[in-house]
Amino acid sequence: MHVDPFIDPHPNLTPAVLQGLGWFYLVLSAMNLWWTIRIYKEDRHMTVPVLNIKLPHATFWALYTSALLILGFMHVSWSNEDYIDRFPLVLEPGGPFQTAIDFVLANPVTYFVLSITGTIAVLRFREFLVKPTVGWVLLNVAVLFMTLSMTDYDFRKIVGKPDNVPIVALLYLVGGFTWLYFSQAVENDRRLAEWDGEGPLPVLENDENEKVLVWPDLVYSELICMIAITTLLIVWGIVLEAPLEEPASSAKTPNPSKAPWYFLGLQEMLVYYDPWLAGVVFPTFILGGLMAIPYIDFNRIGNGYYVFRQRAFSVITFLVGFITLWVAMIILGTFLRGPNWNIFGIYEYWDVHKLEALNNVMLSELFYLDWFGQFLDMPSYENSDPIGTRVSMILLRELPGFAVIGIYFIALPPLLAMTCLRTFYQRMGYLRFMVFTQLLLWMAALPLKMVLRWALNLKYLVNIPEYFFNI
Amino acid sequence: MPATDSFFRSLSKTHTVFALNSILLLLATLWMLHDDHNDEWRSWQQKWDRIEDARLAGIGLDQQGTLDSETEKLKDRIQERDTFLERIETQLNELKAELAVRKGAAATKLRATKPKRTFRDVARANYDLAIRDMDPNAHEKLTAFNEKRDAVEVLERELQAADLKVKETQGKIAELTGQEIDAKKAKKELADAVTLTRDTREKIAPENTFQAIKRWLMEQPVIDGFNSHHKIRQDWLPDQRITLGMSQTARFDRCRTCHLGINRVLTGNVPEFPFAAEAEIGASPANWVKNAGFPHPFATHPRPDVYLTAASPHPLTEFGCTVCHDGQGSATSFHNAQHGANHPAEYKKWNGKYGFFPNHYWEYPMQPRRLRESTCLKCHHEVVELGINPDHGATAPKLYRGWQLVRNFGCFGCHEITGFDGTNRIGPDLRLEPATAELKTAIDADPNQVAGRMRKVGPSLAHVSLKTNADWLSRWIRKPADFRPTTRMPQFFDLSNQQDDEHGKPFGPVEIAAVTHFLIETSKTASKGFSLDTVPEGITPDAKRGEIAFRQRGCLACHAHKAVPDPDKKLSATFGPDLSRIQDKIPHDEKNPAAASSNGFRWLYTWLKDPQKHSPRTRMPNLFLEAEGEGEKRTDPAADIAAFLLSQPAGSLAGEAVPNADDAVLDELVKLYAGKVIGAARAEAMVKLGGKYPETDPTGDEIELVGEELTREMKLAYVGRRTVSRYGCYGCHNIPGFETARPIGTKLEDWGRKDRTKLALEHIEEYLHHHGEADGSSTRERVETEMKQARAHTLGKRKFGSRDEEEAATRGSFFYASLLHHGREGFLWQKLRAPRSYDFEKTRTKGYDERLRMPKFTFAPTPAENEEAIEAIATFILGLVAEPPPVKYVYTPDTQVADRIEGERLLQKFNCVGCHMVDAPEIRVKTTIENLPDSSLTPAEFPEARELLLKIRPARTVQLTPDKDGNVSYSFHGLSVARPGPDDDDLDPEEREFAYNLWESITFNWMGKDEKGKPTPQTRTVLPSARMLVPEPNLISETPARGGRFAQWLVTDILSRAREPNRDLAWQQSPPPLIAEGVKVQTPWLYRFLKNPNRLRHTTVLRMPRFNLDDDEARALANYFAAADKAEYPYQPVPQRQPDYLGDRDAEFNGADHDYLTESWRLFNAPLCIKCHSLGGRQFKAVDPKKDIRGPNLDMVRDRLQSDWVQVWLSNPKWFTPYTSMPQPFAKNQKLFPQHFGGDGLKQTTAVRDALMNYNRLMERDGTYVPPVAAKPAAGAPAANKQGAAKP
Repeated sequence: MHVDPFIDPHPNLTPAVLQGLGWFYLVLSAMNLWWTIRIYKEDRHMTVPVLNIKLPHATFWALYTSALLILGFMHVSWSNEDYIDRFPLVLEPGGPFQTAIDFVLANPVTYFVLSITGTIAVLRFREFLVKPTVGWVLLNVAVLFMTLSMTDYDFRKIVGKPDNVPIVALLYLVGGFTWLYFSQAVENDRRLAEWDGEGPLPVLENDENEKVLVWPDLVYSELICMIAITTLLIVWGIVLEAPLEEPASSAKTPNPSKAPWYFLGLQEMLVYYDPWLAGVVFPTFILGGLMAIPYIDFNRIGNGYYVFRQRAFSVITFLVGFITLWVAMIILGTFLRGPNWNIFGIYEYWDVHKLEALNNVMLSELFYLDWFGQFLDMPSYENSDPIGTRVSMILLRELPGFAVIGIYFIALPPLLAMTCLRTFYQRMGYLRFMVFTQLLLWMAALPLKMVLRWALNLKYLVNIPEYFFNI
Repeated sequence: MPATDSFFRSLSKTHTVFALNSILLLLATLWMLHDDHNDEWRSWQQKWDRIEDARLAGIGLDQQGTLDSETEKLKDRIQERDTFLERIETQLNELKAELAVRKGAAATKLRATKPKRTFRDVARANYDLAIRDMDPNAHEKLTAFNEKRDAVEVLERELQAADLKVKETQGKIAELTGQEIDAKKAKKELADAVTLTRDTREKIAPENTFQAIKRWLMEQPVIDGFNSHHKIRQDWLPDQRITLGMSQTARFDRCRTCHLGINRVLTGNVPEFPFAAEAEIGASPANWVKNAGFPHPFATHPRPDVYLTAASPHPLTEFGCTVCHDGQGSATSFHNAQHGANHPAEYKKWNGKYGFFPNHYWEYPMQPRRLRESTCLKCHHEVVELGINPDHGATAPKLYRGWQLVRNFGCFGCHEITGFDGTNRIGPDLRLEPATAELKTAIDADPNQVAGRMRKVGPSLAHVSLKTNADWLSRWIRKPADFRPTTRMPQFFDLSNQQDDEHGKPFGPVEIAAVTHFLIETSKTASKGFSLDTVPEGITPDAKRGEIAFRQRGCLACHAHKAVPDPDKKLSATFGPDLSRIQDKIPHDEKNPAAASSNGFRWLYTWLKDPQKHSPRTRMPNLFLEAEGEGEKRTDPAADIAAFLLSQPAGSLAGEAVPNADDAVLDELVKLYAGKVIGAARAEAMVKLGGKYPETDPTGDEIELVGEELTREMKLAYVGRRTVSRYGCYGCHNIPGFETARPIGTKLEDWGRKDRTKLALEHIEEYLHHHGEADGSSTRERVETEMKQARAHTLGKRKFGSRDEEEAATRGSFFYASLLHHGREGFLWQKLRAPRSYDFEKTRTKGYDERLRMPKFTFAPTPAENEEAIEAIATFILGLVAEPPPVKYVYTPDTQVADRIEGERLLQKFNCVGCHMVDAPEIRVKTTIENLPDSSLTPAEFPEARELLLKIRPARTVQLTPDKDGNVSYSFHGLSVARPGPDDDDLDPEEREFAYNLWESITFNWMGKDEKGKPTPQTRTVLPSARMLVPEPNLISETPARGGRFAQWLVTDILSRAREPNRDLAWQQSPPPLIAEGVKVQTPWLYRFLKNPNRLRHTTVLRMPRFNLDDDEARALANYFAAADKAEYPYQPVPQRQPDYLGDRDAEFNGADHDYLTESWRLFNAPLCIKCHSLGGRQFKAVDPKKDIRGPNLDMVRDRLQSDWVQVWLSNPKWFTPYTSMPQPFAKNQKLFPQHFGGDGLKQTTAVRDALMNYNRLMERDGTYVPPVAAKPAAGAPAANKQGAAKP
């Protein structure tokens, strides 16, 4: 293997990368040293099954820490080209691990299913996951995954792009905060379960509920935070320079051309919805819906402290909406969408020549041609027809789509009120329930449309290109 | 803050955190300031300061004392000025006072005079009135007037005297004021000089701490924003616009911010900071100063005579940097400037050092050294001046070579290179000329079009059936190099994308068979009215005579032949094809090759006699191979040469025979092609069921299919025609029926800016990984080897000998790396190396007719040379950007230079330089001043003639600067007359001498000493034909002549055959050098001569052939010679025919019974010129045919030669042609023909010149004149008697 970026435009390993990895390992090792000491202080032991020796838990962590330390030193001190030739790549480019990960990620179906099942799993196994050791192991796994993946050129290229650094941070921050929420919520759930219903609520937040002063406890802290953030931003600005890209040209647009990272969720919606919906209606509903939440929320308990059981519905709705429909979309848009807006695995080269078949069909075509082609003709018209005929033919053609949408938005809310959301309806009243279900249905519209696209190649339910109206 | 300690957080801890954060913020802010200040360019400017310091320190060490004394001297002189000024001041004051007094006196006088003037006027008026009134007392009035007048006059005189005094004083004042001003100016200059010396001292050792601190302070962050000496230096070029994304904007070149010494030159255009490849950027500036070698970015531009300086053609202020070098001019860092690495190892070095990487988004990366000449094309559309330039030499030789290769190999046949956007010039124009005369007329008449002017590079195929047969033709098409390895015809078949898979493999042979069939059949039709010449009755062609003719008639100037071995590459004739195997190509009678009856023989004979008959646009000239001699001795050189060529031993036919077309495959192809037009089903039906072509009037190649029944012949013709269309054979060959076909290739005029994303790289990386080299080995492996060497070089482990060697050794890796980065350079390189390799693994998914069609060219015999040629071509193609700069930047030479450039182009187009030498060899020697060649005239030579010679052909000035051993080196142009033979090997090198005849005048200038030993400039002019003797150790180099390879070869050939070798005679028999032709011949005559050359010389063994020049070309060539010699043209005056001139001469001559011209005519007809020349109606008769040499007929002189030239020629012929046999007719020291002009040689020379220039008039007026037989032969012309020859 040669490490000449001119001869090898896409080198997986370079001395600089090895050096960087070394520091990664050293930092991780330092973190684990702290953790080992912490575990050592807890002084817990376990018996090794076969040898029947009792060892402190800290032994394993100490071993792991030492391994990281050695690895780190090796990387830092041996990072030259000769060494690269002999470097044992854990993540062999094109090896089973990369292939497997790319296979899972580079497919919207598996990706979406994964993010949904992941969310469900987090909810289901939350009590296990919030254990400190489990959390620590998860963090280690996440960091190691990142470290090892950095040996891949394509991964490095995407993750290391200065624009994308905040999104990588976002990944860890979202994970960390979610973990924090669950660890607090699980604890509070436990406390509430043991509560006999008397006295103040036993939640964690009540342990420290003394009043504090605006000055200095609040404002001073805020000042310090301001200074710290300013420092951080300056350092960030110096270290990670914004990449200059090509001169603007109307004749040549960048491929892929991506929205700013915080809009990538919206951009992802454009794949499934017409711009007027994805770009106008959905954002309006998202913003309006977020503002309407306090007025819709009828649950009077669970305010002011972390809890899960008391607000399970709200939490699940939020997690699905935020994590799977927003954050996951941003990640998809940032890391997985490549040239021609095709999906690429995180270890895959962004080759512009990759093609994906997009044989999308309209609902009217499915209806008139596939399902009822034997009995019904697709309504059509000539351009010479009078306007009335044309409009009625169009409406007739798109009748199935309108019907589906009508059922979805008009028939579904009463149906829900009568069935699974009966209690909601009773407690919210008609108007509030209707607003709530409408919002919920709009939110569900995205995953549903995605599923329809993947299952039926359905492009639009209603397709009236004559008047630029598509749903 | 409330006075309580029950805060949520410990206040002191919070303070600590606050303090810590604040310190961090401060540090971050400082870091930011530092980062902002720490620009890369500042470090370069700091280093530059150190260079300047080191240089000044170097000056200072031994010059401190000088500086001191100089300052003192200056101060003294200032003092002196001051005293002088004071004196002037005093004088001025005195004068001013005097002036005031005088002015007062004058005013008084004026006041006194004025009333008297009035009285006088009144008196005059009164007198006038008295006259009118007839007053009898008028005379009294007159007396009164006279009195008054006299009184006034006295006063007036006094007034004038007073005024004069005033003026006198004023003049004195003005003079003194002038002196004062001058003195003040001188004082200021002196004061400035003092400041300068002080500043210089300041730099050497800043005595002034304040200055040092100020300087240091101005370099500090933030403060440096206020006019620091470290600043960005930019050149604003409002007219040199650059396209960025969507719009155009002016260029800002900030390159000089780091390249600080780039335009610093010393007097004489010598770089002040010469570049040295071995200077390391890490070394200390003092070292560079000491070794006088600087690295970039500090070095001066290597060619200040051509670039940057105000006197050069590209001054910095107008051209800047990026218009030639590309790169990002507004950048101020190494990386952002997008320097171009010459090879990957260099890139890697930069990557480590400066964090450099190619920024794909910058569309104009700097050209790497190997391709940097390409940008010259933006403005130099004619290219010639970049390769041949009398002022600057070859400034872009690689680009020039690329351009020549593109022209020679006919790339423009398929790839149009339009130099015009409408009629606006956008780049070099290489397009085929209009196919027919009608088309040309139409384009010429259209003001919005400019016709192309390139001829097709291949031979016409209109009569190919007469020339050869199908078997040979098909083998040739299959692989031309099998038959003729040096051929320029590329290989179309048997390339990777045809043999790769089962699907394509059988098609190739069928296509070849079809093309052969098509060409033969078409040419049979086209040749119906074409008759072949026959050898005249009674002449038997003779191969032996033919060989001599072949050698001597000039064939070898363009063609090579193995019968004339050329091991030393003296001839290197590659202009025309190698003729060694032509006998295998032309079908002839094997048993009797010289049989003039065979069709092949007749074809060759016809071609040799008149090439244009077969191919009207051929560049093969008509060699005037006409039958000559009488009766038995009558021979026909054309027939002899044909016999010689055909009687060469036949070789085996090269390569595999191409089998007959397989019917099934043929049908496949017909279906494939016809299917695209009429649909697969109909094509299938047509072929399978034997039906006829369904359309009756097709427009495309399908016309071949129209007929009652689809025969095999028709199919073959169809596939053949399709193949010709598909491969674009008509781009190089004239093929009947394809006159209006368009070129098939990508247009190249803006290829240099082709969008990289539009390059179809396909699987080239994989191909090069596994294959790629000519021998089938992996290019990747080759690149790795190259990289190892290059890395060793950049690490300093094993250095390359030179930068050129480095460049050659890294060629593969540079282009390979470019290819991996989707670069145009790499794409082009591989495309020219193996054009079809881009189909690697693609043919399986491509239809047969979709495959790449570009053939494989062999530009040079070995792969390394081939790649070198490819690099040259790439340099040219990459320069085609179609971004013409504003008109003022486009190279638009004046008429003379433009004519010279056009002429140079034509010299090559018609290979004039194959025979004629246009620049004599340049010999560089070293010697001492004492041993410089002598300059004195012989007693026989006229000083007047010498002056005239130097006027029409000025001497070249050579400045001699002796080195420390007293040696000087210079070069001269001359022809070798003798060189040490192999027998002289055992001689002492000092005795091994090279002898040359000088072919130019040289004026040597040097600093010598006069009698008193004082240095004085010395000068010496050496005239042409001086014998230059150079002992072997003194010979530094010999640069071959430009042009004339054949002439030089022929001289040695003649010498080797001659019984008594005489180099001068051998030269007289060969094509003459065309040195100083522009001052010799009259341009209109040259034009007529080029169009239709008549026989001039009787000594040469060959005749000037008639080239296929059109009028414009002949005119341009005729102008060229005059332009190149900076002579007047197109019309040269002949004052000798003017009545004024003749009147003067008549008056001078003052003849009794006849005039000056008649006397001249008589002298001209005297028994001198007639010995060698035909003249005055009398024919030259050889007394001794073996010895006598016949000169040109003199009746032509009048129209042919320029009068000044004739004058000099007659004064000393050897000054122009050192090898001539013509003697000096009238020497200075001899009185020949005293009866004419009193035997004054100079007058006689002039008279003969005048007679020659008035030849026609004298022939008509005086007629043939036979001088009375002289009693004894004229003394003083012994040379004429002996050699008796002339040959201007």
